[in-house]
Amino acid sequence: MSDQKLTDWRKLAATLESEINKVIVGQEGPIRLITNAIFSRGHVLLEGDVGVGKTTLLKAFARAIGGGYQRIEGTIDLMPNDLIYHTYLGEDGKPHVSEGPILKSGEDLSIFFFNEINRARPQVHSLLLRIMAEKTLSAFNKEFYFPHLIVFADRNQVEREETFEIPSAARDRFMMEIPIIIPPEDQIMTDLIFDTKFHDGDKLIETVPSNLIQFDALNDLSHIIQSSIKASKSLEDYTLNLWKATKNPEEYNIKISGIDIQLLIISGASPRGISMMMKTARVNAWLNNRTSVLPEDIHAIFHETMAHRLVFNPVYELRRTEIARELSNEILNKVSAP
Amino acid sequence: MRKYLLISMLLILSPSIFAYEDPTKYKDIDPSFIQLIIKDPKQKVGYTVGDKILREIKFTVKKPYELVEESLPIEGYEKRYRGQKLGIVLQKKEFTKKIEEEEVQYKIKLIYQIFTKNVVAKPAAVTADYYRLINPNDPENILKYRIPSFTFAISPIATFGAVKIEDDMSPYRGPFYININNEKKFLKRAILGFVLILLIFGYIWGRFTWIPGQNKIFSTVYKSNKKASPTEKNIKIFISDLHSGFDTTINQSLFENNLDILFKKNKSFINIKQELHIFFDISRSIFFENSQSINYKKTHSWLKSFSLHCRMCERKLIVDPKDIVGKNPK
Repeated sequence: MSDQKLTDWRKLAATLESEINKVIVGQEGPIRLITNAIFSRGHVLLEGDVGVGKTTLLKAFARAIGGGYQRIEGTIDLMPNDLIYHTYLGEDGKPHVSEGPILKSGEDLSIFFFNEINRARPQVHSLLLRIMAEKTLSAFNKEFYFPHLIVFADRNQVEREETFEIPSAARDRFMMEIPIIIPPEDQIMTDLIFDTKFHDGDKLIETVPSNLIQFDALNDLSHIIQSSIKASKSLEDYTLNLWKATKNPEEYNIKISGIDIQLLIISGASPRGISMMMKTARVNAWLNNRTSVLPEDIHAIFHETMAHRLVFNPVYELRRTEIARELSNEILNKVSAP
Repeated sequence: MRKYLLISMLLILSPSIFAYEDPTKYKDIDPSFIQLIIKDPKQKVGYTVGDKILREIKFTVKKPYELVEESLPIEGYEKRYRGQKLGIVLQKKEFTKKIEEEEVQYKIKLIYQIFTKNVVAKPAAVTADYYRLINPNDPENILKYRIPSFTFAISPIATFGAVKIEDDMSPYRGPFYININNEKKFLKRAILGFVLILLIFGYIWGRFTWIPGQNKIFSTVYKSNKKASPTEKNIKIFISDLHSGFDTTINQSLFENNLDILFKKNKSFINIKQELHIFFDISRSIFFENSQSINYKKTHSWLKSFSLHCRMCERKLIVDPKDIVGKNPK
C-alpha cells in the first residue's frame, strides 16, 4: 500500500474520531485510544462507573465500523453455550436451535460487545479467551472463524456483589483497559443535563455515519501500519527498560508512598502485553502522521496498555485502580529516554 | 656605748637576718623520703606590677619524717635574693594535710604578687624555699628539702612618666583606656553586623548565583562536550548528557510534554523555551527518527550554545534574548 493510501486511511481515522466526538462529549482521550485499538486490532475493556456512557460509546464505534455487531449481557447464570446457540420451541411446537450472538454474524462479525463482563462466570471467560486469542470457535462439529473480530467489554468497579474478578490471563488478552470518567468541565456537564439530544442514546448514535470504515480492510491495514512505522535502537532500549521496570520497579528507583514496592508486583507485563503496547504505539505514531515511534507515542498509551496486565500482591489488589495509575506514571517519570 | 649601738643595730636588721636562712645550716634529707610535684604557671614572660603567680605544690613525706610546718613561707613575706628584696610578695597561702599510714601528703597553694617593674625586660624568680623536716624519734637532727625556684621575666609597662610616650607609639595598638565598655559594645555590634552581612551574602549566592561546586550540572555537560568533534556519536553523547542533566534537575525524566515541571522548578528556563523545543526536535531526529539530513557541525555548535544557556538558567541568570537561536540547525 502506498503512502498515499496510508494518508487516506489516516484521514478516515480522523473522521471516525471526530464523528464519535460529536456524539460522545468530553471523552477525547478514550475515543483516541479506542480508534487506536481498532487500527491495532486489539480488544478493549472499558472500566468506569455506572451510566457514564461506556455502552453508548462502544455502540457508536460499532456503527461507524460496520460489519456484524453483536452483544451479550454478563449475568451470573450466563453459560458458555448461551454465547453459541439458544434453543426454543417454535410456532410449529417443535424444538429449534438458532445461533447465539457469537455465531449469528458469521465471519463478518466485527464487534462483539460484552456488557458487564465481570458478572459472567469464569467458564464464560474461558470461552471468550479462546475467541479473543485465536478468533476461532468449535461448535456443532465445525470450526468457525472470526477474522475481523474485536471484543469490546465493560465492567464497573464500584459494584462487587455477584461479580467475578476477571483472571489475569483474560485481562492480558485485552489490548487496552480504558478508564471512562465523567468529564469534569462544567459546560459539558450542563450539556449532558439540559441538551435533550443526549437523553436518548440510541437516537444519538443514529447520527453517527454507518459503515464509515471498511471493516474487512482493517486487518491488512494494521499489518501495513506495523511494518511501515519504524522503531529506532534508542526506542528499543527505552521500551526494554520500561518493560523491566514493570517487573522490578525497585531497580529503577520507583517509589510510591505507602507502598512497599518490593512486595507490590507479583508479575510484570507479559511478552504479549509489551508487544501489544508497541503495536498501539506504532498506530499512535501513524495517527499523528509520523513514520517513527517516539517516546511520546508510548506515553500516550502506556497506562492503558500496561496497568491491567500487572499482577499485584493481593494486599494491594483492592486499591488496584489508584496504585496502577501511580505506578505507570512513576515508571514513565523514572525511566529515561534516551 | 658601742655595745648599745651594736645591739640597737642588730634589732633594726633582725627581720632581714631571720628571713635570710643559710641553706647550709641543715643537712639534706634522703630524697627517697620525699615526693614533690610542682605546678607552676605556663606563662614565663610578660609579668609586671600587680600580676599574680600561683604555685601549687604537692609535697609527700614518708614516715618517720614529718614536715616542720613553721618552715613553710609566711604570708606577707617578700622574697629576697642574697638579702636583697625582689619585689615579689607571698600574698596568700593555702595549706592542707592528709595523713596516711606510711606518709603525710601536703597540698600547698602559694599566690605571689609582683610589686616591681622595669623599663626593660629583666629576669626574676620566686626563689627556692627550704622546708625543714624532722624525725620525731630524733628531734635534734633537723633536715631540709629544697623546693626549686620558678624563674620568669618581668616585662616593661608603659606608664605615664616611666617611658616617653612618643617613643612607645606602636602603630599596631592604640592607647589603653581605663574603661573599655564602649569599645566592647562597638566590637559586639561590628561582629553582629559582619555575621549578618555574611548571611545575606550567603543567601544571595545560594539563591541567585552560582557557587563553585553547586548547581553545576550543565556546566559539566558543556565542559565535557565542548571540545568533542562534531560526529554523530559525539552528538548523541552530548544530547544524552543534556537529557540526563534535565532529568537530574527535575528529578524525573523530562520530555517535551512535561516541560512545565522544569519551568516550575526553575523559572529561568522559561526564557529558553524556544530552544528547549528545538532541542527535543533535534533529539527526536537523531535518536528516534534516524534522520539523514543532519548537519553535525552546525548541530554541535548549536548544542554548545544551548548548553551554555542551560548553564546560565541553572545559575538563575537571564539569557539575553538576542543570544537565543530559535531555529533548528539542521
